[in-house]
Amino acid sequence: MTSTKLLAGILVFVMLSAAAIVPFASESSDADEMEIIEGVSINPEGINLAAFIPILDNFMQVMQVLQGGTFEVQFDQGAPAGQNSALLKQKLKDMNPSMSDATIDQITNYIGLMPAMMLSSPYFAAAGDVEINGGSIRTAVDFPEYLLKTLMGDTDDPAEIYRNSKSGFLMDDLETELLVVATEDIKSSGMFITSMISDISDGLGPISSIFRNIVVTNNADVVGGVEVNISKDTQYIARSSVDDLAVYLSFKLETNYGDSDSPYFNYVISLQTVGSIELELTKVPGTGEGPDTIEAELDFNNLDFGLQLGFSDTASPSGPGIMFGIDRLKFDLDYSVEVDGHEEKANVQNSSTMAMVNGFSIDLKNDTGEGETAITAVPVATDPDSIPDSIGTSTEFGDIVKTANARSTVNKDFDPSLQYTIGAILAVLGAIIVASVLVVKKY
Amino acid sequence: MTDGSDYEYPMFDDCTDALEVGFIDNMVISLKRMVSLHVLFGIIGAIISLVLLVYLVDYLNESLTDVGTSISLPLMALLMLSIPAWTLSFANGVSVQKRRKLNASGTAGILGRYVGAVIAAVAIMTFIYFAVFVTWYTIKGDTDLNLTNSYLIMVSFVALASAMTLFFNTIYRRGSTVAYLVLFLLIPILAFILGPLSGLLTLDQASTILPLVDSISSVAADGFGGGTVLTLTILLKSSPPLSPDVMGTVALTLGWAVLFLALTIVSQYSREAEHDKH
Repeated sequence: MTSTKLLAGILVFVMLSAAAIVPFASESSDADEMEIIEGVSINPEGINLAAFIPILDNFMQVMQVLQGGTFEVQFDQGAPAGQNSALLKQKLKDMNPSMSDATIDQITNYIGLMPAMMLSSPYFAAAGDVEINGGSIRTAVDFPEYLLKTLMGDTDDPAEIYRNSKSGFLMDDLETELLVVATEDIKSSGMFITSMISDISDGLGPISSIFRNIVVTNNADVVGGVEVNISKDTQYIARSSVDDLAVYLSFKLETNYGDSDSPYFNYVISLQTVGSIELELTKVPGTGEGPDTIEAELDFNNLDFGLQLGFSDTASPSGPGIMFGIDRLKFDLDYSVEVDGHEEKANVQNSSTMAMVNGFSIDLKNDTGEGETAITAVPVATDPDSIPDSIGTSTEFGDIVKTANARSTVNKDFDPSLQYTIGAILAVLGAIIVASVLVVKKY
Repeated sequence: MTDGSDYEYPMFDDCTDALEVGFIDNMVISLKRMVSLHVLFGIIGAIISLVLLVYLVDYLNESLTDVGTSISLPLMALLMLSIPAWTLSFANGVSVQKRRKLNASGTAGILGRYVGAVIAAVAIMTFIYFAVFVTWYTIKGDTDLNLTNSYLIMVSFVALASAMTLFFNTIYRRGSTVAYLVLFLLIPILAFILGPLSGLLTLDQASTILPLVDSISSVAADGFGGGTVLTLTILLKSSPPLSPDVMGTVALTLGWAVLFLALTIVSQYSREAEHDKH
């Protein structure tokens, strides 16, 4: 019984991990199939990651901009139109003087776009300039340069490596308004985590039923997304508000760089998120088909994701590869959506089965057959004998990271009352049985 | 009730030896089994296999890391079944006579047999725990083990295993084999049928009702909200002592143990009643 469950768990996470790694690893690969250890292979084309990639792209772009220091901006509640967004653009420009205005505009718009993408559909794009009506953002970003360059495929300049990199994001009472347009026909509106999960699990076929047991919900209809039928080019005004969002991200490097000619670089990554995001989409009349209003709210009661991501020239005997492992995945999210007045709510949590795959790590190698590598090798500039602990940051930086960590750490106490109750009932039942034999029958 | 001194029937029936009455007498019978040769061999075998397993996993992890590959199976996944298996083995070994049905008689007698078995099995498992601790310290060099929680769960599991074995031993000669099958096969299958397969309950809820032995209950992992009787996973992660998760598991397991003990008494009573009728 146990080995079957373990095998099922491994298979599911290999599929998931392969699906997640595909966009990074297959840039220059002609391989149709990813071969995973022991001859199990999957066809990545069968798994639709369309929902995941735009969000990840945006995320990486923002990371690059904010990399290396703190960023703080306080918006005026009641400021005239355009003032807050101009303030944000100015601050971003100050941080990255070489960045083009077009890119800065795009990144500024993400603040208004991301809630729509995360809570409704990834197929929305900005169709105007974001209006920021209040709130504050504080970020302290230290994303490992080596990882960034590997993920972006930038092998030209060498990267520095550090043993620890930590980032914190704090967003409070942030209110935005943005005109968005549907870039495709949107069939369903749901939260990004589950639409990503359902896209992946559709590609898994019969294994998907096991996977669905890893996510537990009290309203399965909502989890996959509610039906909306928005036609392409329909425009909506997206009003969003982000309350008390704290995100903590840390990277710890494990490597044998310096001790080996073909070193591996393994990052132990920890992501914690707590907060809530609200979204209201109102259709602009005459622009297309779809519901008049969509309201959604996503509360991160707890999101604690620990994973490992490693790159190596000798991950497997026949070539370089990626190592992916799950240390822990805990989540407890509340999602509610209201389409034209009809409301649905769901609470999504990880189920107990998740605990069984905690601690597993899997190697992926991309066998293109001719010794070509699909893992881009980023040169390292750091002296292997003295890898510094971290990039070296200010006290403000440390404060933001510490606050983000504290606010995003949830220690949920397990409620044992059901077990106590059942234990007590069984014991009482047993005692009654014994009493009946002892007293009545004098045994 | 049938009196052990009635020599008209020196054996109770052809599967059972003469019945023993009395709390102390029965307790002594169980305790004596602890010092039998086959239990001693069992302990040595368990310790050797434990040491080998720990060294093997450690060696595998290290040699793979040197090559740059990292396939790490956590130690707990491999040892997941070992400690409960040993616990059940030893609990069986001290609770029953090989291939004979239970010959304890009377509520006091059965309780004595049970208490003796629990004390004996806990004593044996304490040796095993000591071996685990020493092995871990030798290999890892630290004492990052949470023995209290694990030990508590082990004791409650011994209570359950002994009660179950005694109960099945009133019905079957190979009571210990049946207890193995029930604990390691029937209950997990039932949990899966009730849980993920039919969707009636979640696995969490199913394991809160059934004493599920092959699932992970790691307080540090916190991914599992059900009651289980697995001891080793708690052993390997540091966590605060006497957390609610542990006490809940202990309460559930002891509840089931009491129920099975009661069923043993009833079952033995009805056996004797049936026997006396003829």
